[in-house]
Amino acid sequence: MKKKDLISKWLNFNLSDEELETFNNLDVSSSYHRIDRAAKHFKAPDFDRETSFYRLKKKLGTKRSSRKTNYYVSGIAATLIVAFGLFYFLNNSSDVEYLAANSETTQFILPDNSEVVLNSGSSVSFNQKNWGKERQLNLDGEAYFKVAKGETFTVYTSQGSVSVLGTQFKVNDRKDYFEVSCYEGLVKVIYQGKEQHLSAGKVFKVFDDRFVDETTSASKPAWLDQKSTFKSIPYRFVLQEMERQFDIVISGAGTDNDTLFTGSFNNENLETALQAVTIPLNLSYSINGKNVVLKINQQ
Amino acid sequence: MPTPLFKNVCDEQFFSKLYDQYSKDLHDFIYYKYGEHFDPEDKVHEAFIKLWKNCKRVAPDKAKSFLFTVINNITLNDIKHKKVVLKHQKLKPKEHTHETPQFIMEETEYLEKYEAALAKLPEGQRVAFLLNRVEGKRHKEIAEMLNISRKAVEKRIYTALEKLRQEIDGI
Repeated sequence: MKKKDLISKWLNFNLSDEELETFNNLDVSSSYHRIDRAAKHFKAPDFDRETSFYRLKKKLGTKRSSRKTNYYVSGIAATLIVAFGLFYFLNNSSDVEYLAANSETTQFILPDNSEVVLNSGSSVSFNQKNWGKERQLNLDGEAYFKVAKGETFTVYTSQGSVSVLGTQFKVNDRKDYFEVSCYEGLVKVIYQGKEQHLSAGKVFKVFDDRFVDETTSASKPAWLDQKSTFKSIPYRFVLQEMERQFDIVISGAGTDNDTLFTGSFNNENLETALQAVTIPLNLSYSINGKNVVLKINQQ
Repeated sequence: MPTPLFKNVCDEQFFSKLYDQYSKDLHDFIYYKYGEHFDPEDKVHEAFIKLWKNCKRVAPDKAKSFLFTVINNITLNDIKHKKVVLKHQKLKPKEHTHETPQFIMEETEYLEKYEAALAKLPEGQRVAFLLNRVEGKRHKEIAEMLNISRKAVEKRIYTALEKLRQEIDGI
């Protein structure tokens, strides 16, 4: 091999052990190694994608105010459709969206016979035309998937993506909270550019920048049986879930509480559910239509 | 890239995915090309803001080249008359315990020589060389970033290395 080719190969991190030895015997190799070491001293400043994106969002937030009206219009339109609990076709008839409003769940079958159940306050969209080629969909909120065998099946969320071949799993993408539970098979989670594999019974959870690895013995999400269960979750997320399940607004004590809560509540009866989550924290509640106010019990 | 799902880049999820994918490369590209004089993160933001404003007109598979072209133009506009100052951040020295003062002095001297030699490199060679040596990128990746052939990248990096060696060794 010519000297130049050998050097280029070294530069491309491509040398075999044998070639590396030849390279190291070159008269110039020590100079090159030295330069290589020196180069590392001039690294670009660390770049954190996440915080940087956060700063970008702030900038965009101020510049996008003129578009707000559009958002309101589409927001109202979306709410109307939610109210009827129907899925609708967008302008492009191949884009399909399914929604589950607060206090309801929606179940549907994808073109490949994969099953999806949406938990309250969640939506899924995908392109029907391309489904045969690539099984990809967008999720906002929480959903359970029972995927038929076939090509890679990918769920994109605002925080990370999840890919599988054929299996059962659940994805929960909420504000400041991201969770993936695998019930069967193997699931690949990509979160902030990092890849992680989950086997059956494993749970991947992130909230408030904390990563938690857990296991689950359940074979499907509890909410398929009208229950919401939590394992070491900050209390405020529990209340947020309750708001979605019963389509209520909770205010007062506890809404910014970070105490870790383990337990469950029933998704069918508001009173029972409120008792289940307030008694352990020594709180009391009062219901006024769709508003629930929590108070700390005085001893 | 999951293009079929999105008609254009107006989707917020897709947009954030683009950010995840390309922001660091864009940042490093601008840093190694123009130095820290122009806040690279700011340039990254400007490019993405521009992308967002034009999101309806940019097809997903064109987003990457859009970003690289725009960020380069933005920075060029900024520097038009200013001279580039290449001042790289120095890594903190490793916490070796056996370093003699003489060793440290030699090391500092060497780094100064290196810095001077680096500043003399033509921009194209410097960017390719630094992306390769510092960020550990392969020729193919750099070719995709800079939109030039793999062979051209190979040549730039090799030439840069040779020039640095000759400059530093005083040949």
